Amino acid sequence: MGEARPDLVRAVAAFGLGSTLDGPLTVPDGDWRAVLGTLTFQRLTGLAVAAADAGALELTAGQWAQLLKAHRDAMVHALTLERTLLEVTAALERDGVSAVVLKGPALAHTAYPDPSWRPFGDLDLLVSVVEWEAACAALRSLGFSRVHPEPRPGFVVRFGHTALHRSPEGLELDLHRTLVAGPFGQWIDPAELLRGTVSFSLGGRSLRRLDDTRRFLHACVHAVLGFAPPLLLPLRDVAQTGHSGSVDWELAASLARRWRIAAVVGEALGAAREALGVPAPPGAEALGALPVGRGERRALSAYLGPRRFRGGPAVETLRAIPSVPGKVAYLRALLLPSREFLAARAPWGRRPGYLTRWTTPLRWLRRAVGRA
Amino acid sequence: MTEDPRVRRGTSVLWRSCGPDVLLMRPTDPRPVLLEGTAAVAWRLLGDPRTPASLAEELAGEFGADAAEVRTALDPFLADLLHRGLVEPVRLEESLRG
Repeated sequence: MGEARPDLVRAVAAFGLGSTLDGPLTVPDGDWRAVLGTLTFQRLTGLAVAAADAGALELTAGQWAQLLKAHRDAMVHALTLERTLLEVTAALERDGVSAVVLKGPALAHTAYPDPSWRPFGDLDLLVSVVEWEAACAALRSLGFSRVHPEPRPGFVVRFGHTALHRSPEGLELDLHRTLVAGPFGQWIDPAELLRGTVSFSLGGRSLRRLDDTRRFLHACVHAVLGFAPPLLLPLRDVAQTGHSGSVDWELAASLARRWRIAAVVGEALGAAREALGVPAPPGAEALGALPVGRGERRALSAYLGPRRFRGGPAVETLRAIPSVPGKVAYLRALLLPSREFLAARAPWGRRPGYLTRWTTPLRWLRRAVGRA
Repeated sequence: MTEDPRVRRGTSVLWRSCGPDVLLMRPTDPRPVLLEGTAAVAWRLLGDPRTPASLAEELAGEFGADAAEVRTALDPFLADLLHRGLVEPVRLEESLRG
Protein backbone atom coordinates (compact mmCIF):
# COMPACT_ATOMS: atom_id res chain seq x y z
CA MET A 1 0.00 0.00 0.00
CA GLY A 2 1.45 3.40 -0.96
CA GLU A 3 1.87 5.54 2.12
CA ALA A 4 0.79 9.16 2.25
CA ARG A 5 2.97 11.60 4.22
CA PRO A 6 5.22 8.91 5.72
CA ASP A 7 6.96 11.53 7.88
CA LEU A 8 3.68 12.47 9.53
CA VAL A 9 2.49 8.89 9.94
CA ARG A 10 5.80 7.95 11.58
CA ALA A 11 5.59 10.94 13.91
CA VAL A 12 2.10 9.79 14.93
CA ALA A 13 3.41 6.25 15.50
CA ALA A 14 6.10 7.70 17.79
CA PHE A 15 3.74 9.97 19.74
CA GLY A 16 4.32 9.84 23.49
CA LEU A 17 7.72 8.17 23.28
CA GLY A 18 9.60 11.37 24.01
CA SER A 19 10.64 12.37 20.51
CA THR A 20 10.34 16.10 19.88
CA LEU A 21 8.62 17.77 16.96
CA ASP A 22 9.48 21.16 15.47
CA GLY A 23 5.87 22.21 15.80
CA PRO A 24 2.34 20.83 15.51
CA LEU A 25 1.83 18.61 12.47
CA THR A 26 -0.82 19.61 9.96
CA VAL A 27 -2.32 17.77 7.01
CA PRO A 28 -3.44 19.60 3.86
CA ASP A 29 -6.97 18.57 2.92
CA GLY A 30 -5.65 17.14 -0.35
CA ASP A 31 -3.56 14.60 1.59
CA TRP A 32 -6.02 13.87 4.35
CA ARG A 33 -7.95 11.02 2.79
CA ALA A 34 -4.79 9.06 2.07
CA VAL A 35 -3.32 9.89 5.49
CA LEU A 36 -6.48 8.72 7.26
CA GLY A 37 -6.43 5.55 5.17
CA THR A 38 -2.86 4.85 6.23
CA LEU A 39 -3.56 5.63 9.91
CA THR A 40 -6.52 3.26 9.82
CA PHE A 41 -4.67 0.51 7.94
CA GLN A 42 -1.68 0.74 10.28
CA ARG A 43 -4.00 0.84 13.34
CA LEU A 44 -2.63 4.20 14.43
CA THR A 45 -5.93 6.03 14.98
CA GLY A 46 -5.58 5.85 18.79
CA LEU A 47 -2.14 7.44 18.70
CA ALA A 48 -3.41 10.04 16.21
CA VAL A 49 -6.33 10.95 18.49
CA ALA A 50 -3.95 11.23 21.45
CA ALA A 51 -1.53 13.37 19.39
CA ALA A 52 -4.39 15.64 18.31
CA ASP A 53 -5.66 15.87 21.91
CA ALA A 54 -2.19 16.94 23.03
CA GLY A 55 -1.90 19.55 20.27
CA ALA A 56 0.91 17.72 18.46
CA LEU A 57 -1.36 17.12 15.48
CA GLU A 58 -3.50 20.03 14.33
CA LEU A 59 -6.57 18.92 12.41
CA THR A 60 -9.46 20.80 10.89
CA ALA A 61 -12.89 20.14 12.39
CA GLY A 62 -13.76 17.90 9.46
CA GLN A 63 -10.52 15.92 9.73
CA TRP A 64 -11.00 15.50 13.49
CA ALA A 65 -14.55 14.21 13.02
CA GLN A 66 -13.39 11.67 10.44
CA LEU A 67 -10.48 10.53 12.60
CA LEU A 68 -12.80 10.11 15.60
CA LYS A 69 -15.21 8.06 13.50
CA ALA A 70 -12.41 5.76 12.30
CA HIS A 71 -11.08 5.41 15.84
CA ARG A 72 -14.54 4.71 17.24
CA ASP A 73 -14.98 1.87 14.74
CA ALA A 74 -11.60 0.46 15.80
CA MET A 75 -12.56 0.69 19.48
CA VAL A 76 -15.97 -0.93 18.98
CA HIS A 77 -14.11 -3.82 17.36
CA ALA A 78 -11.54 -3.96 20.19
CA LEU A 79 -14.28 -4.03 22.85
CA THR A 80 -16.18 -6.74 20.98
CA LEU A 81 -12.98 -8.78 20.81
CA GLU A 82 -12.36 -8.28 24.53
CA ARG A 83 -15.88 -9.48 25.32
CA THR A 84 -15.14 -12.58 23.23
CA LEU A 85 -11.79 -13.01 24.97
CA LEU A 86 -13.52 -13.12 28.36
CA GLU A 87 -15.97 -15.71 27.08
CA VAL A 88 -13.24 -17.85 25.51
CA THR A 89 -10.84 -17.74 28.46
CA ALA A 90 -13.70 -18.67 30.83
CA ALA A 91 -14.53 -21.70 28.65
CA LEU A 92 -10.88 -22.72 28.44
CA GLU A 93 -10.52 -22.39 32.20
CA ARG A 94 -13.60 -24.58 32.72
CA ASP A 95 -11.94 -27.22 30.53
CA GLY A 96 -8.69 -27.01 32.46
CA VAL A 97 -6.73 -25.13 29.77
CA SER A 98 -4.41 -22.31 30.87
CA ALA A 99 -4.23 -19.77 28.08
CA VAL A 100 -1.86 -16.84 27.81
CA VAL A 101 -3.12 -13.70 26.10
CA LEU A 102 -0.66 -12.42 23.48
CA LYS A 103 -0.43 -9.08 21.69
CA GLY A 104 -3.59 -6.90 21.31
CA PRO A 105 -5.49 -6.79 24.61
CA ALA A 106 -2.47 -7.72 26.73
CA LEU A 107 -0.38 -4.92 25.22
CA ALA A 108 -3.22 -2.38 25.23
CA HIS A 109 -3.92 -2.87 28.94
CA THR A 110 -0.43 -3.33 30.30
CA ALA A 111 2.17 -1.67 28.07
CA TYR A 112 0.45 1.49 26.84
CA PRO A 113 -0.55 4.47 29.01
CA ASP A 114 -4.11 4.25 27.65
CA PRO A 115 -5.59 1.11 26.06
CA SER A 116 -7.24 3.23 23.38
CA TRP A 117 -3.76 3.92 21.96
CA ARG A 118 -3.44 0.27 20.90
CA PRO A 119 -6.23 -1.00 18.61
CA PHE A 120 -6.18 -4.64 17.51
CA GLY A 121 -7.98 -6.68 14.91
CA ASP A 122 -8.02 -10.20 16.34
CA LEU A 123 -7.21 -12.28 19.42
CA ASP A 124 -4.11 -14.35 20.07
CA LEU A 125 -3.94 -17.04 22.74
CA LEU A 126 -0.96 -19.22 23.59
CA VAL A 127 -1.53 -22.69 25.03
CA SER A 128 0.82 -25.56 25.77
CA VAL A 129 1.06 -28.39 23.25
CA VAL A 130 -0.31 -30.75 25.91
CA GLU A 131 -3.52 -28.71 26.10
CA TRP A 132 -3.78 -27.99 22.38
CA GLU A 133 -6.55 -30.47 21.56
CA ALA A 134 -8.58 -29.48 24.63
CA ALA A 135 -8.27 -25.83 23.62
CA CYS A 136 -9.45 -26.58 20.06
CA ALA A 137 -12.39 -28.55 21.47
CA ALA A 138 -13.34 -25.68 23.81
CA LEU A 139 -13.31 -23.27 20.87
CA ARG A 140 -15.49 -25.63 18.84
CA SER A 141 -17.97 -25.81 21.73
CA LEU A 142 -18.29 -22.01 21.51
CA GLY A 143 -19.07 -22.21 17.81
CA PHE A 144 -15.59 -21.33 16.52
CA SER A 145 -14.47 -23.07 13.36
CA ARG A 146 -10.95 -23.69 12.09
CA VAL A 147 -10.32 -21.48 9.05
CA HIS A 148 -7.53 -23.47 7.34
CA PRO A 149 -7.11 -27.22 7.36
CA GLU A 150 -3.66 -28.53 8.34
CA PRO A 151 -1.43 -30.02 5.63
CA ARG A 152 -1.38 -33.22 7.72
CA PRO A 153 -2.97 -34.02 11.07
CA GLY A 154 -0.77 -32.72 13.91
CA PHE A 155 1.24 -30.40 11.61
CA VAL A 156 0.63 -27.23 13.65
CA VAL A 157 1.58 -28.84 16.95
CA ARG A 158 4.79 -30.19 15.45
CA PHE A 159 5.91 -27.58 12.93
CA GLY A 160 3.44 -24.68 12.82
CA HIS A 161 2.79 -21.93 15.29
CA THR A 162 -0.90 -21.09 15.14
CA ALA A 163 -4.34 -22.24 14.04
CA LEU A 164 -6.72 -19.51 12.94
CA HIS A 165 -10.27 -19.89 14.32
CA ARG A 166 -13.32 -17.83 13.43
CA SER A 167 -16.30 -17.17 15.71
CA PRO A 168 -19.90 -17.32 14.48
CA GLU A 169 -19.84 -13.48 14.39
CA GLY A 170 -16.74 -13.54 12.17
CA LEU A 171 -14.20 -12.57 14.85
CA GLU A 172 -10.78 -14.14 14.44
CA LEU A 173 -8.74 -15.90 17.09
CA ASP A 174 -5.25 -17.29 16.55
CA LEU A 175 -4.52 -20.24 18.81
CA HIS A 176 -0.73 -20.38 19.24
CA ARG A 177 1.56 -23.17 20.33
CA THR A 178 4.54 -20.80 20.02
CA LEU A 179 5.28 -17.25 18.94
CA VAL A 180 6.18 -17.63 15.30
CA ALA A 181 6.31 -20.11 12.43
CA GLY A 182 9.41 -21.18 10.54
CA PRO A 183 12.92 -21.81 11.83
CA PHE A 184 12.56 -19.47 14.80
CA GLY A 185 9.41 -21.34 15.80
CA GLN A 186 11.55 -24.47 15.95
CA TRP A 187 14.16 -22.79 18.14
CA ILE A 188 11.92 -20.96 20.62
CA ASP A 189 11.15 -23.27 23.53
CA PRO A 190 7.38 -23.06 24.23
CA ALA A 191 7.81 -24.51 27.72
CA GLU A 192 10.31 -21.79 28.60
CA LEU A 193 7.92 -19.25 27.14
CA LEU A 194 5.04 -20.47 29.30
CA ARG A 195 7.20 -20.40 32.44
CA GLY A 196 7.28 -16.59 32.31
CA THR A 197 3.72 -15.34 32.65
CA VAL A 198 2.02 -12.81 34.91
CA SER A 199 -1.59 -11.82 35.48
CA PHE A 200 -3.46 -8.75 34.34
CA SER A 201 -7.00 -7.63 34.89
CA LEU A 202 -9.68 -7.34 32.22
CA GLY A 203 -13.40 -6.92 32.78
CA GLY A 204 -13.01 -7.82 36.45
CA ARG A 205 -11.23 -11.09 35.61
CA SER A 206 -7.64 -12.11 36.02
CA LEU A 207 -5.98 -13.28 32.79
CA ARG A 208 -2.42 -14.38 32.01
CA ARG A 209 0.04 -12.64 29.71
CA LEU A 210 3.78 -13.01 29.01
CA ASP A 211 5.99 -11.30 31.58
CA ASP A 212 7.62 -8.02 30.54
CA THR A 213 10.82 -9.67 29.28
CA ARG A 214 9.14 -12.29 27.13
CA ARG A 215 6.56 -9.73 26.00
CA PHE A 216 9.39 -7.53 24.68
CA LEU A 217 11.00 -10.47 22.86
CA HIS A 218 7.65 -11.40 21.34
CA ALA A 219 7.14 -7.82 20.14
CA CYS A 220 10.55 -7.99 18.40
CA VAL A 221 9.75 -11.33 16.76
CA HIS A 222 6.33 -10.18 15.60
CA ALA A 223 7.57 -6.84 14.24
CA VAL A 224 10.38 -8.35 12.17
CA LEU A 225 8.96 -11.70 11.08
CA GLY A 226 5.27 -10.83 10.89
CA PHE A 227 5.33 -8.40 7.97
CA ALA A 228 7.81 -7.29 5.34
CA PRO A 229 8.56 -4.43 5.60
CA PRO A 230 7.62 -4.13 9.29
CA LEU A 231 4.41 -2.24 10.08
CA LEU A 232 4.58 0.78 12.35
CA LEU A 233 2.36 -0.44 15.20
CA PRO A 234 4.41 -3.62 15.78
CA LEU A 235 7.53 -1.41 15.77
CA ARG A 236 5.84 0.86 18.27
CA ASP A 237 5.16 -2.25 20.37
CA VAL A 238 8.90 -2.94 20.36
CA ALA A 239 9.64 0.56 21.64
CA GLN A 240 6.69 0.56 24.04
CA THR A 241 7.43 -2.81 25.64
CA GLY A 242 11.13 -1.95 25.82
CA HIS A 243 10.56 1.37 27.53
CA SER A 244 7.65 0.35 29.80
CA GLY A 245 7.42 -2.32 32.46
CA SER A 246 10.46 -4.00 33.90
CA VAL A 247 12.34 -5.95 31.26
CA ASP A 248 15.12 -8.09 32.71
CA TRP A 249 17.75 -7.37 30.05
CA GLU A 250 20.08 -10.12 31.21
CA LEU A 251 17.29 -12.67 30.96
CA ALA A 252 16.25 -11.21 27.59
CA ALA A 253 19.80 -11.69 26.30
CA SER A 254 19.95 -15.20 27.68
CA LEU A 255 16.62 -16.20 26.11
CA ALA A 256 17.53 -14.51 22.82
CA ARG A 257 20.74 -16.56 22.70
CA ARG A 258 19.04 -19.84 23.57
CA TRP A 259 16.12 -19.27 21.21
CA ARG A 260 18.48 -18.05 18.48
CA ILE A 261 16.55 -14.81 18.00
CA ALA A 262 19.40 -12.39 18.76
CA ALA A 263 19.53 -11.31 15.09
CA VAL A 264 15.76 -10.80 15.09
CA VAL A 265 15.91 -8.69 18.25
CA GLY A 266 18.79 -6.62 16.87
CA GLU A 267 16.87 -6.08 13.64
CA ALA A 268 13.72 -5.07 15.55
CA LEU A 269 15.56 -2.55 17.71
CA GLY A 270 17.23 -1.04 14.65
CA ALA A 271 13.98 -0.87 12.66
CA ALA A 272 12.09 0.70 15.60
CA ARG A 273 14.85 3.27 16.09
CA GLU A 274 14.89 4.15 12.41
CA ALA A 275 11.12 4.30 11.93
CA LEU A 276 10.20 6.06 15.16
CA GLY A 277 13.32 8.11 15.83
CA VAL A 278 13.60 7.01 19.43
CA PRO A 279 16.67 5.44 21.02
CA ALA A 280 16.73 1.82 22.10
CA PRO A 281 15.66 1.34 25.71
CA PRO A 282 18.48 1.60 28.23
CA GLY A 283 19.81 -1.90 28.75
CA ALA A 284 18.80 -3.11 25.30
CA GLU A 285 22.00 -2.06 23.49
CA ALA A 286 23.79 -5.20 24.64
CA LEU A 287 21.02 -7.29 23.09
CA GLY A 288 21.67 -5.76 19.70
CA ALA A 289 25.34 -6.70 20.01
CA LEU A 290 24.87 -10.39 20.84
CA PRO A 291 26.84 -12.80 18.66
CA VAL A 292 24.75 -14.19 15.81
CA GLY A 293 25.42 -17.57 14.22
CA ARG A 294 25.44 -18.26 10.49
CA GLY A 295 22.25 -20.34 10.57
CA GLU A 296 20.44 -17.66 12.46
CA ARG A 297 21.56 -14.98 10.04
CA ARG A 298 20.52 -17.11 7.08
CA ALA A 299 17.12 -17.80 8.65
CA LEU A 300 16.52 -14.09 9.19
CA SER A 301 17.53 -13.27 5.62
CA ALA A 302 14.83 -15.69 4.44
CA TYR A 303 12.29 -13.28 5.97
CA LEU A 304 13.86 -9.94 5.10
CA GLY A 305 14.78 -10.49 1.48
CA PRO A 306 13.01 -11.74 -1.66
CA ARG A 307 13.47 -15.36 -0.48
CA ARG A 308 10.54 -14.76 1.84
CA PHE A 309 8.21 -15.14 -1.13
CA ARG A 310 10.19 -17.95 -2.77
CA GLY A 311 10.00 -20.64 -0.15
CA GLY A 312 12.91 -19.30 1.93
CA PRO A 313 11.17 -19.73 5.32
CA ALA A 314 10.15 -23.32 4.43
CA VAL A 315 13.72 -24.22 3.44
CA GLU A 316 15.08 -22.69 6.65
CA THR A 317 12.45 -24.52 8.69
CA LEU A 318 13.58 -27.77 7.13
CA ARG A 319 17.17 -26.95 8.14
CA ALA A 320 16.07 -26.04 11.68
CA ILE A 321 14.08 -29.23 12.35
CA PRO A 322 16.51 -31.22 14.48
CA SER A 323 15.87 -34.85 13.47
CA VAL A 324 15.85 -36.64 10.11
CA PRO A 325 12.42 -38.25 10.72
CA GLY A 326 11.16 -34.76 11.58
CA LYS A 327 12.54 -33.34 8.35
CA VAL A 328 10.95 -36.17 6.38
CA ALA A 329 7.58 -35.62 8.06
CA TYR A 330 7.78 -31.87 7.35
CA LEU A 331 8.65 -32.39 3.69
CA ARG A 332 5.95 -35.02 3.30
CA ALA A 333 3.34 -32.69 4.79
CA LEU A 334 4.31 -29.86 2.46
CA LEU A 335 4.66 -31.93 -0.70
CA LEU A 336 1.89 -34.44 -0.10
CA PRO A 337 -0.69 -32.66 2.00
CA SER A 338 -4.21 -33.93 2.56
CA ARG A 339 -6.82 -33.50 -0.19
CA GLU A 340 -8.74 -31.13 2.07
CA PHE A 341 -5.68 -28.89 2.42
CA LEU A 342 -5.06 -28.98 -1.33
CA ALA A 343 -8.63 -27.94 -2.04
CA ALA A 344 -8.42 -25.07 0.44
CA ARG A 345 -5.08 -23.80 -0.86
CA ALA A 346 -5.47 -24.29 -4.62
CA PRO A 347 -4.93 -21.04 -6.53
CA TRP A 348 -8.20 -19.44 -7.60
CA GLY A 349 -9.58 -20.92 -10.82
CA ARG A 350 -7.25 -23.96 -10.77
CA ARG A 351 -8.05 -27.55 -9.95
CA PRO A 352 -6.60 -28.73 -6.66
CA GLY A 353 -3.97 -31.41 -7.12
CA TYR A 354 -0.38 -32.26 -6.35
CA LEU A 355 0.88 -30.99 -9.70
CA THR A 356 -0.73 -27.60 -9.07
CA ARG A 357 0.80 -27.59 -5.59
CA TRP A 358 4.27 -28.41 -6.89
CA THR A 359 4.24 -25.88 -9.75
CA THR A 360 5.42 -22.96 -7.65
CA PRO A 361 8.31 -24.66 -5.79
CA LEU A 362 9.42 -26.29 -9.06
CA ARG A 363 9.55 -22.85 -10.65
CA TRP A 364 11.63 -21.55 -7.73
CA LEU A 365 13.93 -24.55 -8.09
CA ARG A 366 14.34 -24.04 -11.83
CA ARG A 367 15.21 -20.36 -11.27
CA ALA A 368 17.70 -21.27 -8.54
CA VAL A 369 19.35 -23.86 -10.79
CA GLY A 370 19.39 -21.36 -13.65
CA ARG A 371 21.09 -18.77 -11.43
CA ALA A 372 23.63 -21.33 -10.24
CA MET B 1 -29.54 12.98 57.32
CA THR B 2 -28.07 10.01 55.41
CA GLU B 3 -25.32 10.68 52.94
CA ASP B 4 -25.76 9.48 49.32
CA PRO B 5 -24.06 6.15 48.70
CA ARG B 6 -20.89 6.39 46.67
CA VAL B 7 -20.81 4.86 43.19
CA ARG B 8 -18.02 4.00 40.78
CA ARG B 9 -17.47 2.37 37.40
CA GLY B 10 -18.52 -1.27 37.34
CA THR B 11 -15.44 -3.45 37.77
CA SER B 12 -16.45 -5.78 34.93
CA VAL B 13 -17.17 -2.99 32.45
CA LEU B 14 -15.05 -2.87 29.30
CA TRP B 15 -14.49 0.67 28.07
CA ARG B 16 -12.37 2.88 25.85
CA SER B 17 -11.76 6.57 25.34
CA CYS B 18 -12.50 7.89 21.86
CA GLY B 19 -11.16 11.42 22.07
CA PRO B 20 -13.65 13.26 24.27
CA ASP B 21 -16.17 10.38 24.12
CA VAL B 22 -16.29 7.03 25.85
CA LEU B 23 -17.45 3.62 24.60
CA LEU B 24 -18.47 1.09 27.23
CA MET B 25 -20.10 -2.29 27.59
CA ARG B 26 -20.55 -5.11 30.05
CA PRO B 27 -19.17 -8.49 28.93
CA THR B 28 -22.75 -9.67 28.44
CA ASP B 29 -23.84 -6.75 26.28
CA PRO B 30 -24.17 -7.25 22.52
CA ARG B 31 -22.58 -3.91 21.65
CA PRO B 32 -21.01 -0.89 23.35
CA VAL B 33 -22.85 2.31 24.19
CA LEU B 34 -21.36 5.72 23.49
CA LEU B 35 -21.18 8.46 26.10
CA GLU B 36 -20.54 11.99 24.90
CA GLY B 37 -20.03 15.41 26.48
CA THR B 38 -20.86 15.66 30.19
CA ALA B 39 -21.72 11.97 30.37
CA ALA B 40 -18.22 11.02 29.20
CA VAL B 41 -16.63 13.40 31.71
CA ALA B 42 -18.81 11.91 34.46
CA TRP B 43 -17.70 8.41 33.47
CA ARG B 44 -14.04 9.37 33.68
CA LEU B 45 -14.58 10.91 37.13
CA LEU B 46 -16.24 7.69 38.31
CA GLY B 47 -12.88 5.94 38.18
CA ASP B 48 -12.78 6.94 41.86
CA PRO B 49 -15.90 6.37 43.97
CA ARG B 50 -18.03 9.46 44.36
CA THR B 51 -21.40 10.42 45.79
CA PRO B 52 -23.85 11.82 43.23
CA ALA B 53 -23.64 15.15 45.04
CA SER B 54 -19.84 15.38 44.81
CA LEU B 55 -19.95 14.26 41.17
CA ALA B 56 -22.53 16.96 40.39
CA GLU B 57 -20.34 19.58 42.06
CA GLU B 58 -17.27 18.56 40.09
CA LEU B 59 -19.18 18.56 36.82
CA ALA B 60 -20.70 21.93 37.64
CA GLY B 61 -17.20 23.28 38.28
CA GLU B 62 -15.90 21.77 35.05
CA PHE B 63 -18.70 23.18 32.89
CA GLY B 64 -19.41 26.41 34.81
CA ALA B 65 -22.98 25.31 35.57
CA ASP B 66 -25.20 25.32 38.63
CA ALA B 67 -24.61 22.22 40.80
CA ALA B 68 -28.31 21.77 41.59
CA GLU B 69 -29.21 21.82 37.90
CA VAL B 70 -26.43 19.37 37.10
CA ARG B 71 -27.67 17.09 39.89
CA THR B 72 -31.17 17.13 38.43
CA ALA B 73 -29.83 15.91 35.10
CA LEU B 74 -27.29 13.58 36.69
CA ASP B 75 -29.64 11.51 38.85
CA PRO B 76 -31.57 9.81 36.02
CA PHE B 77 -28.31 9.27 34.13
CA LEU B 78 -26.71 7.55 37.13
CA ALA B 79 -29.88 5.57 37.76
CA ASP B 80 -29.76 4.33 34.17
CA LEU B 81 -26.08 3.35 34.46
CA LEU B 82 -26.84 1.55 37.74
CA HIS B 83 -29.77 -0.24 36.15
CA ARG B 84 -27.57 -1.39 33.27
CA GLY B 85 -24.85 -2.53 35.68
CA LEU B 86 -22.35 -0.07 34.23
CA VAL B 87 -21.75 1.63 37.58
CA GLU B 88 -22.01 0.00 40.99
CA PRO B 89 -22.49 1.21 44.53
CA VAL B 90 -19.44 1.02 46.75
CA ARG B 91 -20.09 -1.36 49.65
CA LEU B 92 -20.12 0.18 53.10
CA GLU B 93 -16.96 -1.58 54.31
CA GLU B 94 -15.03 -0.49 51.18
CA SER B 95 -16.42 2.98 51.63
CA LEU B 96 -15.14 3.09 55.19
CA ARG B 97 -11.73 1.85 54.07
CA GLY B 98 -11.46 4.25 51.17
